[in-house]
Amino acid sequence: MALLEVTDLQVSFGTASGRIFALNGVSFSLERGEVLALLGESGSGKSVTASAIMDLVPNPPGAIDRGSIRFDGAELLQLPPNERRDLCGSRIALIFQDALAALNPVYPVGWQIAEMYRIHGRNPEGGVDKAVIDLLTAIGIPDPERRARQYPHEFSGGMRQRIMIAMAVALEPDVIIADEPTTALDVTIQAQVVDLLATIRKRSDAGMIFITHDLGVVAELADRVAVMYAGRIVETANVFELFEDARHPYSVGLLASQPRLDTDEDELVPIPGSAPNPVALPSGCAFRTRCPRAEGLCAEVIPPLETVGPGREAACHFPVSPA
Amino acid sequence: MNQPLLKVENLSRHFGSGATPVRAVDDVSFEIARGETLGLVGESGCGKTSLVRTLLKLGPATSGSAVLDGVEITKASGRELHELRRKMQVVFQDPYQSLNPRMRVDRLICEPWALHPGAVPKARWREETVRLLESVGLRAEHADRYPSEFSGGQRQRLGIARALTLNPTLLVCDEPVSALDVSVQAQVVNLLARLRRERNLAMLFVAHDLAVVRHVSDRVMVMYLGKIIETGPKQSIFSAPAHPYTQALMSAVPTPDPRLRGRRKRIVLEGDLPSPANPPSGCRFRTRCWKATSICAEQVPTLMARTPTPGLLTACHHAESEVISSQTPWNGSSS
Amino acid sequence: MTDTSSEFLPTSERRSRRILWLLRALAGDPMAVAATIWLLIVVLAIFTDSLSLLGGNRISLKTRNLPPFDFGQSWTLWLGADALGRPLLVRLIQAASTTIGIAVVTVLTSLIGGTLLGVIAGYFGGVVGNVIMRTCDIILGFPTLLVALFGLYLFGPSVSNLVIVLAVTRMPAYIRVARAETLEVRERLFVDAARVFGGGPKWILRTHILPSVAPTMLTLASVNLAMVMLFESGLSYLGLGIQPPSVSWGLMVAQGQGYLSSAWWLGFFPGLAVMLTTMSFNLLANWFRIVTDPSQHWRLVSRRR
Repeated sequence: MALLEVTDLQVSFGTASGRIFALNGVSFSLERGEVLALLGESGSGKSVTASAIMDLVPNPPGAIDRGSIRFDGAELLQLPPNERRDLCGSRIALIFQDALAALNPVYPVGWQIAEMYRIHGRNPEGGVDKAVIDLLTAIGIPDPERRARQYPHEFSGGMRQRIMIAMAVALEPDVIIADEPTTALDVTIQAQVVDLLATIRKRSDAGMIFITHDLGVVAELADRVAVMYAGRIVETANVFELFEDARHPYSVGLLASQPRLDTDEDELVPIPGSAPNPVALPSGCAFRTRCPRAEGLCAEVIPPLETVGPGREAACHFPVSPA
Repeated sequence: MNQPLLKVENLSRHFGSGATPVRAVDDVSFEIARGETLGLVGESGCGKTSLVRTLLKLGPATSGSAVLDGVEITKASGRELHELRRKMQVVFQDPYQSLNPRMRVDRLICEPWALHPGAVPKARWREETVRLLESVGLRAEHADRYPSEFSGGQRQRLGIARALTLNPTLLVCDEPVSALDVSVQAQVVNLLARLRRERNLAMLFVAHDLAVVRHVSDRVMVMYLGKIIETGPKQSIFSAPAHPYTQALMSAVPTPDPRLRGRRKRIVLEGDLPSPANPPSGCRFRTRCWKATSICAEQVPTLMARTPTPGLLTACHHAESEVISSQTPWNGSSS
Repeated sequence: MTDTSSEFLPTSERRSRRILWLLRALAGDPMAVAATIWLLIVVLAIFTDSLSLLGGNRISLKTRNLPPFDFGQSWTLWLGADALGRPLLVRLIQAASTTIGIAVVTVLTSLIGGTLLGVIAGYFGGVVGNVIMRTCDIILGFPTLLVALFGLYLFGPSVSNLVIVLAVTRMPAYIRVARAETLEVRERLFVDAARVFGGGPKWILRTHILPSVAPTMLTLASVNLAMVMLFESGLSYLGLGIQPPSVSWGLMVAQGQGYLSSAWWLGFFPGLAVMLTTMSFNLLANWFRIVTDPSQHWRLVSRRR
């Protein structure tokens, strides 16, 4: 049984211009010890997925219209609120994108990490304070006793991000959701964070959902990749297969448009057009307006997510042929 | 013309006064030839934004000189400065903030012409606006719209169109694609490359994304804590950097190829960026450098050719080229 | 994504399209429509009064304290009559021009003066900014009514003095808001862009800062209209504002205060007029704010994309 199983999730938001479907029937699963990357650009719905799992969708104006989220056999959407709250945070952890905004500026950092233990009523052996110091050491903060008493603004961006990661893994969760943890960071700091996440992955058998738009980071960390576009999953594959042999035109386009450090082609091959307006999605396949392979059928029928090979799926009427 | 278009010598920009001013830009020298693109990379806090603002005369230089086409930027004022503005334009990073949301697109594009009455006669404004919009891949009808009706990539195109209105010879791009989605980045990068070819534009391309810089630049400069620590032709910098910081930077960029996972030895820099108000003595990078020795704390290393790599200038006492190849594992040595 | 024309239109056609668009935008906000209707009525009333079309302002003991809604009488008496038999409707209309005139002139003065001073203080700062702000602080240190009383007592209760006193005491609020907004807009990237194009302070203030600051200032002005009307009525009541036989709505309210139980209409209708007018100004200001902010247009005009 999968550790986390999302089935046909639909999340919508009511706005003045109409109802926006941020997630339009999203299904995926996460096994123990696996790193799943949710890859997509702005408007793809990847962050909303994380919010939906963690019960952070503001209601109103947002609402989970249908679907199920099963964690370790339990249906999250039907749990009573306090049980759900307890689960999210202790067994499912979220690392936010913006570390500065997620840390409270008026409390010392050590206090905030300790708060994780306090809220969930945990008492690690040796005491909470020792656990905090150990955690700070593990994420590479020098002189942890002194630093634990300092405030978030006294740390650099990279350190704050690592502190957030520490807070997330403090209670040894079963699922870690990282929402664009490297996006706002400098390259050398990104490297530190990616290394830290790789270490965590080696040392625990937690499952990780990694939300990003950076193909390089996906290549470094992920085992499987789910590519999202306009609120739907358009392709899932093992990471090697995706990079060598992507089937969905959007995935192919994404890979072709990224500039790479190791080669020196003359022109990048961009995907024409821009992300669709969520209020007015194209009929049928949402990608068809930008797709070089689109034909009549694409405007009429939304392509379902179908198996195109062992352990891989693509939602396209005319997927790219195997390499 | 052998004279460089832009010649910067010992330019400094310090903030604050007293004993410890913040040395955002410290004694920086470089040149840009006509039609050349110079890439400027560095992380946050390295001073690249301050350098850009000083060059654009959005803030006063503390000392040093910057000469554009024979005119001294730091001392220009009045009419001379006004003329200078026509030659040097900017594309800002944030497409959501760099266009006045209350101004319609046609007014936005015409603003430079309103400020420089000699440039384009008013009767031709409409026609020129359409031409510019089309040259950046937009359409004539977009002129009647407001910026909020466009996507990020389209707004950046508007910013580029606007920057070209006065036919500048130097275009300063301050992280023009960082705020855009990946697939849109490629569109804008291609657009800039095409415009550059068509108009023989010189560009100063500031970015923190090394891969984008590689695609766009002819030469590259690396900044750290207000100083240029390495510069050279693109090939030299990207394939055989000699400065430890550049090497660390290169190794930190994740390459989108899962087969290389784990086989690339990454140099992870210890510690954090020192405060620009109190930089380390001697070489500023020494507090995070694995090669640092006592001389590094005593003498500031000058930017000069220290390796046989063509055109590469490095500011390091222990400069040693490490050849980077994409196929073999990265071999960052610590000798 | 676009549905409009593919060429540039000549200016006259563009103007008429713009007017059409404004009307559509107005229709998108029913409250603004109601406000416009009321204000048009008021303007019409003032207009007819200025042309002396109303005639009858004669004192007539026959109609003394006549109650309203007696449709047997001539139309001017439908809102009743006051203690001297003068038709209330006629008095209301006559008072309209005074009240609105004073309020609008006062608010315009403090709006224009305050905005300019605030923008200058915010953009240039330095000594000039300091002088302006400290003067503001001094003015704010005194309660408005007190200053008004002193001023009018010293210089005599004429209409122009009234306007000056009210405008000056209201100005610091505008200055502060304008300065705060200017400080914020000044740091925006598009202002930097304008400087790189060669825009000097005058250009930037005129093209970028003032238009960005204007909507907030106009909203402030509309809110102030109500306050000014109320201040004016208070001062008139105390005998330092409008002097009889001139009349203003505020004065009529004050005068009708003694008749609340016997002739309620004397105070009610002028008060209602004040309320409807200030509400209309507020609603229109709200609409205006949305119209001048292009990113909010979707609230009023839905585009078919």
